[in-house]
Amino acid sequence: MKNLFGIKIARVRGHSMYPSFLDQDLVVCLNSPLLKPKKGQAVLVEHPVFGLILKRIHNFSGLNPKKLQLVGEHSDSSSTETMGWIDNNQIVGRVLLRIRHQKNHR
Amino acid sequence: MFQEIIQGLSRKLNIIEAQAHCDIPCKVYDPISAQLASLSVIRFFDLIEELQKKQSLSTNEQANLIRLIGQKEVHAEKVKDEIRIIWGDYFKAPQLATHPDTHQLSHQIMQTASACKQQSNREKGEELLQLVNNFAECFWQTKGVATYRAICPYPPQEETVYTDLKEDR
Repeated sequence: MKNLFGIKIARVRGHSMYPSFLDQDLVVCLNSPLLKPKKGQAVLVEHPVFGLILKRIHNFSGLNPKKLQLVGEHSDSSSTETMGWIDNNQIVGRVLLRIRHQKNHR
Repeated sequence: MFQEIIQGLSRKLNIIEAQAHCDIPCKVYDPISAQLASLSVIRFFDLIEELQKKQSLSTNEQANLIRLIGQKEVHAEKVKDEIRIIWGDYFKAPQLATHPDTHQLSHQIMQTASACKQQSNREKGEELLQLVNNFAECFWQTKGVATYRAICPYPPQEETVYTDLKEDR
């Protein structure tokens, strides 16, 4: 991952975000404190167990708006419960742009 | 052209990987473990009740009471674990569409299992077993597997849901 003025570029590995993101796609992400995380956003998260993961924001805690849950798009994704509650500051970038890998073009 | 430039650039940028990983879809799910744990909870209530009827307890009986209370809590927690896994990992949009009450049912099981840990009330154990039985029926319906209810052939001899795998599907 390269951090260029808050811009991060990461390569997707795995299929849990199918169909939005496919294996080997690139994602360009922006990390800025000015951007409020929103439900449904695709985000890069530094997870304490799974490492750097790409998921969508599923929902926010009713008690603490800085706590949120994640969700994958594919049915085989790790479940929301397995990934647990995530702190806002574990989000390391919000996806701005997806670049399909050549092998994923049909 | 744009793709090739980006991909070529990415090779020079030392980009690391973001995992969009999956759970291993082993597909091995069965609520029977939760049902057996629920039956155990009721059994522990009964054994605790037997000791409570005594005027006084010997040292061995006191030690046994402590073990029974501890195991009641362990098995009530096991019910919660087993149900959580099936609810969280197996039930997905298609199953929830046909069984929309699953969330509420799972939540009721969590609450009732906790009550079994907190209290010494057999009725709570019976309520837990009934809820877990309902969950088992719901689970097997999503898989198109027939079920029936029968009294389990061992203490506490309570009604339990079993799969009828011989029935034509």
